[in-house]
Amino acid sequence: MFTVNALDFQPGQKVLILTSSAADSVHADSALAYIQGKITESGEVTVRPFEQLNEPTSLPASYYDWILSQLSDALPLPHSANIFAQLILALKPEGTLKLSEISVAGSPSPSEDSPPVSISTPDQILSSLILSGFVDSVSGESIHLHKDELREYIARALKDLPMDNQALIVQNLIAHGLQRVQFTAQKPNYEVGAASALQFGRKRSKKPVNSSAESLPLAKKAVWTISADGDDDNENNNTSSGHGTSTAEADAEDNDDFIDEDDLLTEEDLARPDAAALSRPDDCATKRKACKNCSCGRAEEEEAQELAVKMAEAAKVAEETKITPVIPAPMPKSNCGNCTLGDAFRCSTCPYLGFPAFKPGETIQLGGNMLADDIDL
Amino acid sequence: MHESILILYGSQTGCAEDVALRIGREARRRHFRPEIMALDSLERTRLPHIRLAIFVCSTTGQGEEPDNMKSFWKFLLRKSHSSSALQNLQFTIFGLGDSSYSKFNFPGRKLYRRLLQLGANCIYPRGEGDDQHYLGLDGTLDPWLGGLWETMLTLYSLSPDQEIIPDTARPESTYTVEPKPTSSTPPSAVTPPLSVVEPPGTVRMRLVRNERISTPDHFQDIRHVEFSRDPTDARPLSFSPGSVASLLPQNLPDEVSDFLDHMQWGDQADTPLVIRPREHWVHLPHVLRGTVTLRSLFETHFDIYSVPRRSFFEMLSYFTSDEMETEKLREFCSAEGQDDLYAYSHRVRRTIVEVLKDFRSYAIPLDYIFDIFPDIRARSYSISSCLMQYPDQVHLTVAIVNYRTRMSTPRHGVCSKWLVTLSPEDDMVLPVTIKPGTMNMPSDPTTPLIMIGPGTGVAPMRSFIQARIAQGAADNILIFGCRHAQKDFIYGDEWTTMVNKGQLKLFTAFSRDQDRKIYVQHLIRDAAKTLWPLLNDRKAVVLVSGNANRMPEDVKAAFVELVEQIGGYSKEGALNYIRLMEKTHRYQEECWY
Repeated sequence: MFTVNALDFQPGQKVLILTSSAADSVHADSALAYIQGKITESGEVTVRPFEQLNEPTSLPASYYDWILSQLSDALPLPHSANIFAQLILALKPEGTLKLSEISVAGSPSPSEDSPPVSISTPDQILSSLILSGFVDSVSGESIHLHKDELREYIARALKDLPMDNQALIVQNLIAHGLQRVQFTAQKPNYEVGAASALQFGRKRSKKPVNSSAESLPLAKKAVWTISADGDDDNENNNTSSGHGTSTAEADAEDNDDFIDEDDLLTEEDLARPDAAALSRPDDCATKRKACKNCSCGRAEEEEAQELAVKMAEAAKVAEETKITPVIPAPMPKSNCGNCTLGDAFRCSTCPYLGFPAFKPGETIQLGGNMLADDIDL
Repeated sequence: MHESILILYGSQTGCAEDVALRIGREARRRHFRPEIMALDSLERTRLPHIRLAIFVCSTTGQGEEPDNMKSFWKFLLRKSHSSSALQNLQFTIFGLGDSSYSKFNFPGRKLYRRLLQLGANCIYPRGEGDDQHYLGLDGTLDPWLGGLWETMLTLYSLSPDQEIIPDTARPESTYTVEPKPTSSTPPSAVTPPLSVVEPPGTVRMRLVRNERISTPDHFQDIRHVEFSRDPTDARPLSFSPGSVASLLPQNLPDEVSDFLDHMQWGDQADTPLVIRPREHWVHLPHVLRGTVTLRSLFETHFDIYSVPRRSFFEMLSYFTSDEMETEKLREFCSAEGQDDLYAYSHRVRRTIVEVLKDFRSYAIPLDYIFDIFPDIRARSYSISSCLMQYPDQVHLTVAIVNYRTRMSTPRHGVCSKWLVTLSPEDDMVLPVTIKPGTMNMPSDPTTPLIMIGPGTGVAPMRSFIQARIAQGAADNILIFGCRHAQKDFIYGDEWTTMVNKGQLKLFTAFSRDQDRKIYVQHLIRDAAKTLWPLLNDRKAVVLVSGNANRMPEDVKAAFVELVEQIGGYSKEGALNYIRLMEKTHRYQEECWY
């Protein structure tokens, strides 16, 4: 979406192109060629990394007719108010700023749970331009981010954020959707403040077009520098028979090649979850025993539990004395009809809890089946 | 959409692996193409080319990474990697941990930070499971997965003709399992080789002793087990003191027979089987490389006496015909059903076999046995002997796990149950895999060694003490604790002999022999004046081993107090003093649950 063709460049004009370091050089090159053709030899086009704007006063004052900020295909970095302030100083009166910026798609209702990321609505960007002194600010073309860009954006946004906010932010970003929006704004036909009088914008080395294009940090390729199956197994081998060896010396050698893993952790990583956040929402289930005036059935359940333990004890005694007993199970009035089924289907107060499923009419018997404890301990 | 996605796990007990498999199933239902494997199984040359990966990483020991990601992790820590090495990678990570430990989820958090450092892009906030959550791991995993798929489907949308496959649809099995085409050999009771390919460090050993060393009236059966290298195994036995031996337990043949009958697999239990993975990236487990039968699989491979994970209920729900049963199983897999599931299986330690007796309407096709039944895991024990004293031998000191819950029959540890049935008279030869432990004794015999090992925590200390005495090291201090001097003072006679020879200084805490309970941490306070000069002037090394519940924290607090009160440090200074000891390996812990 490098739309320089639509812009009305005139011979002799000075153009500043700001690109993020991730930008694709091919687009920049073709755009440069086009602009160069329009502004002719008497004009001047400069390409600078957008990230450099973090150092103030790096731009000449009142110098450019056009500033084109991050119009290439790379995902634009946000323009802060501080950056707008620098750009308006660098433009000549009536100079034009064109930029693209990521903004929230649609217009989410203000306030509420807006994400604590530096991401604005188009309106907020417009007002930021106006507050910086630009006039005739308009938003133009907007395009929804495609998947790869959205991924990149989220990855970038998550990098610097505290963990506890992340889930909310990603949810918000995805719910609202993101778009890339173009904005056009003009510097009024008068200088901002006294900037022109001070002349502090010394002409810094303006490189010829070609070399400045070259100077863009490109050629980023992933280099997996090490032999992937190199030996990492020079750890203390366990074959040093018998003699206790301290790993301390061995570690000292190893550590030259490896980063200290403990240094990876941030302050945040050392924290543990708050116990309160882990516990069951408060109800009687968090208490160790049923309430005195229990009405939820837990008291009955606990009684049944005691009974079950008694039965289990009886079973154990019987087992130890090598008598296969019939468990004196109280024949309960099985109103539910589920008593014969497994524990998964029994009521919480079922006296058979803990016993295997059985057939209706069958007496529960321990011993003789595989669930019995037949090991002498 | 047919986006490839790698699901990489570091798993010690199988929990993280189970989560990874679940993510894999959910990914497949959304038309991703998942590959699921342990981090150490990943070919490293693939790393820079991976576009999308989900990491699942558990925590073991005191904030350490699991064994099957150790070499990958070490590789990732190399300084030589560039900060853009993984820039193609979009990832997220779910860590598993327990916030009652101070180094909560450290491996997952470190992995997350390191991946970012190497240029990888996190596309969905990392998640963390916490055993302390009242719903356990699932308390955070469920919401995390919900959000994950929402994000993933926004970032990688389904094509118009694709729809999410409902979770009620039975997924494809990982393997096909068929009877071997019958050649001339008639099916007979095949005893399979225990394991054809054995992990490194494995030596075949003969069981030569297995006896109870706590008195019969003591509540707990503590075993002294001795293995001797099988002379037919050419591999040498070599390990340093403090090493760990792991045993692969088996299910008892009688119980397995009953189980196979119950499953109505009795008549085909001894038919040799052919097992083939459906997808190229699935590795056939070692145990399956020999001749296997249902009987051999259920005796040596499937952990049917473990407490089932949620995924077991999920898989079972695909095979029940009774609507009420299917519904109940699905409920167990839902967020709302987690309380019930916990009460039904985990709290009472109900086993898979018991669940399969409660439910009745299922028919499990053989193809699915690997998807529904978990693997038996090796159990690790600290070696309690030293080669200089006992050449070619490995001694273990094992507390037998046996307790009651609300279930009508007692609960047994799978390995304990198997171990107590082993007798030297059976002339058993077993593969024993030996790995380095986490504790090391000082290389200089003149450095004093202070060992705190209550209960079976004394096992590695016995190995260190034997080695130290063989080295002629004099300053050996053992602080031991148990319940009763007369019942579970294990190796008491050995210690007494060493004390009499001046080779060992012994402090004992018998917690139940008097009204006031005395523990090892109290002994540290009592002996503070003796310990301080060793610690401070002679740079003693401290080793702590035993149950991880309260003891390690209490012991450390006692040492901090010692440094503060006898050493005259401030509270903060004393904490730093111990922290520095930890950093320089002069204070080491090896504790377990």
